[in-house]
Amino acid sequence: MNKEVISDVQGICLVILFISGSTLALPTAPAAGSDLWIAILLAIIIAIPLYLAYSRLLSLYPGNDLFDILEKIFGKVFGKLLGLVFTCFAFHLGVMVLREQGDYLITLSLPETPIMIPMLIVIFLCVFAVKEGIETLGRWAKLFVIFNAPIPTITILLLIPQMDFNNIQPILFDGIRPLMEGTLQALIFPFGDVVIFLMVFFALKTKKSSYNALIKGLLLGGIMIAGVSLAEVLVLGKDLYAMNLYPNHTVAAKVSIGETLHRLEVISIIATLTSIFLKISICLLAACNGVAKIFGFDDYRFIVIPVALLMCNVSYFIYGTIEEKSIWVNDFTVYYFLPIQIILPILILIAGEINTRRINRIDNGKA
Amino acid sequence: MRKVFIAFTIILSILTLTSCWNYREINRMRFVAGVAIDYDEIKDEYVVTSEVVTLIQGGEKFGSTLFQSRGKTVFDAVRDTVMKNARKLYWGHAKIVILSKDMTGERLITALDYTGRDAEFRDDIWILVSGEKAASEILEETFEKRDEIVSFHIDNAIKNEGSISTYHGIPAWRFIKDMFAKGVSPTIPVVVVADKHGRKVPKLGGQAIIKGDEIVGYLDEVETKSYIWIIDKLKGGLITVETEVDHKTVEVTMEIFGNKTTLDAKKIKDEIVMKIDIESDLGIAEIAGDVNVIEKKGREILKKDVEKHIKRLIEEVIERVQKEYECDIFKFSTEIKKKMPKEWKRIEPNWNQVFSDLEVEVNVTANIKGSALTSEPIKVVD
Repeated sequence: MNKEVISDVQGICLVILFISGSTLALPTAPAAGSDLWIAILLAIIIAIPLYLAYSRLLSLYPGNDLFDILEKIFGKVFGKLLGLVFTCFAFHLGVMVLREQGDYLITLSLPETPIMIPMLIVIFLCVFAVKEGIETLGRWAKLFVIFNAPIPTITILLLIPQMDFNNIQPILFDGIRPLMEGTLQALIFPFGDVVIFLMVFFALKTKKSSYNALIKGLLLGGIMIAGVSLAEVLVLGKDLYAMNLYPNHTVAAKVSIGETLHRLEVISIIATLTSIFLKISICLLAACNGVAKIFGFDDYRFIVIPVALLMCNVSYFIYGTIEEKSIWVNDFTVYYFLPIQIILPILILIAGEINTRRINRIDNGKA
Repeated sequence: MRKVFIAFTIILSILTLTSCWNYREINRMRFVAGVAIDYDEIKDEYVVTSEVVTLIQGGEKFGSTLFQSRGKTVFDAVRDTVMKNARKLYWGHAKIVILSKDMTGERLITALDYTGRDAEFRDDIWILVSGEKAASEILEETFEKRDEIVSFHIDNAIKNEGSISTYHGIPAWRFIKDMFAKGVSPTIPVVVVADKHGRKVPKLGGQAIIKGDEIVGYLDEVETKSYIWIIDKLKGGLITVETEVDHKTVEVTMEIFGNKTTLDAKKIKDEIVMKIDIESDLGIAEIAGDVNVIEKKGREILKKDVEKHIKRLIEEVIERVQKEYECDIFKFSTEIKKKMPKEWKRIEPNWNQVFSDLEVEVNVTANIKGSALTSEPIKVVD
C-alpha cells in the first residue's frame, strides 16, 4: 500500500514535538499548585509503563497501525466499531488543538481578526503536510526540533535572575491530594495524547523502533515540559500561573537582560505555533487514516481535505465562549480521555497477547 | 504550463496578500506613555488622564499631550479618549499607572484587572500612588511646557532607584502576585509634585502600604530605605552616621556598595522568632569634620556605630509597621511558611495579629570596604 519509512530519530522528534505541542502554551497540571513540577515528573514515571504497553501492542503486529490491529483481534464488525471510537478521539483532539491555536493567536496578537483565518491557514498547511505523508512529517519534525527544543531552554536560562525559590517552597504544603490531581491532569494532557501515535506509526523501521521512539520521546519531551513549567512557576508563583491563560507567553515577556535583550514572547509564540502545527497534523493524519481503514479505502489521501475542513468547522463552533472551554477541559476531559488513552489500549493489548499466542499455537500445531 | 501557472499564482498572492487583518499604520496611532486614574465621587465615574507622546518643535523633539476622559469603568473611560483623540491609542509602550489615594477597594481591583487583562498592556508597567489630591495632578502640573514626557521621567527614576533607595518600584504583575499571596501586603511608591529651580517635576519618595485592598499608611523616605533593606532589594544609597572618636563627635556619610539580608524563622520556646541577618558593604563617602575614622581604632568605633545605627533604623520601622499597621510588608510570612509549614497552618487565620506581636532579632554586620580616594580626613590647621 505505502512504503513510507520513518527512522527512529524522526520518530523521537515527532513524539517530542507532539508532547510539547499545545502544552508549551497552556498551563500544565495547574491543580498541583506549586508542586506541579513533581506532578509532571510523576506523570512521566506513570507514563513509562503505559508507553511500554503502546509499544508492545505495535510490535506484536509490526507494520500495522491500531485500526489493522483492532480488526485482526476483534474481527471486522467489532474491530471497526472500536476503530470508530479512536477515529473520533483523534478528530476531536485535533479539533481542540486547532481551536487552542486559534484562541492563542487571537488573544495574544491579532485581537480583531476572525478566529477562522488563522485556523484556516494552519489547517491548509496541515492538509499539505498530511498529503505528503508521515515520512515528510518525520523529516519536518527532525528539522524543527533543532529550532523548538532550544528556545524553551534558552528562555529558562535567561529567566534565572527573576526566579524566586520561595514560590515552590514548602514542598507539599497543601498535602498529597492536589499533587495527585495534578499528576492525573498531566497524564491525560499531554502524555496520554500520544495514544494517537498508535494510529500513525505504521511506517516504523523495525520492531524495536516504537519502544525507542515513544520512550525516548517521552523522556526528552517530558523533561522539557517539566523544566519549562518549573521555570514558569518559579517566576510567576502558583497563583499567577494558574490565573494566566498562557503562562509561557507571560514568562517569556519578562526576560530582560540588561538593556539589550527584552521580551522573547514573539519567539515563544513561534515555537508554540510550530509544535501545535505538528500536533494538528498528526491528529489529522490519524483521523484520516481511521476513516480510510473503516471504510476500507486503499489510501487515506483523498479524504484529507474533507476531514480537515470538517475539523476546521467543528473547532469554530465547538465552544461558544472561553468559559465553556475551561469547563469542558477541566471537568469532562478526564472521563472522556482516560478510557481511550489508558484503559482501552491496555485491554486491547491483553486481547492482542492472547490472540497472537493462539495464532502461534495454531501455526505450531500445523507445523 | 500548469507549473508556471501555479508558480505565478503563488507569487501573485505573496505580493498582494501580505498585510495583516488589522493593519495599523504608525501615523494613525497614538502612543500612550502613562496614565493616571482618578475617581469622581460626585458623578460616580472614573477619570482617566492619559499622557500621549507627540512631536513638538517641528518634529525635532518629543513632547506630550494630555487627554482626559470619563467612564463608568476604567476601560469605558479609556475608550472614551478615542472620541476626543480621533485616533486609537496604543498602550504597548505605557510605562506607569498612577492611582489616586482613594482608588481602593473595588476601584483598585478594577484598575488592576484592566491593566492585567488587556493584551496591549505590558504587565511590567509600574504602579504608583499619587501623594497629591488627584492622580491627574502629577501629569498635569509637572513640566508645564509639556516638552518632556512625565511618564518616561518617572520610569527612568524607578529604573535608577538603586542609587537612591528611597522608593521601590513594583511592576503590576508582581503587585497582583503579592495581593494573591496570603499574609503578604504589597507597597507601592508614592509620587508627588516637587519644585526644582522654579520648574515643577514629579518626585518619588516613600511607599504606600496596602493591606487587603486599602491603603492603610505610608512609609517616609528613611523608613522606605530600611524597608528595602529588610526585603533585600537594597543596591545602593547613603546613610549618615554620627560617631564619636576621642571625645569628638563627627558625622560620617557612608555609601552602601552591597548588601545581603537573610531572613530566618526560628522557634524558641514555642515562640516564633524572626531573625534578620544583615551584611552590608559600605564605604566612607564623606567625613564632616577633623576626626580620623580611617585608621584602625577609629574604624572599629565607626563600624560599631554604623552597625548600631542600621540596627536602630530597622528595628524602628519594623516596630512601627507592627504596631500601627499590623500588616506584613516584609514577607515574614513567606519565610515562616517555608521553614515551618505546620506552624504556618496554625497561625495563618490570625496572621496579622501574630505578626504584630512577632519577636524580631536583628543582627547587623557592616564591612567598611574603603574610603574612596583619600586616606585621611582633611585637616584644618590654624
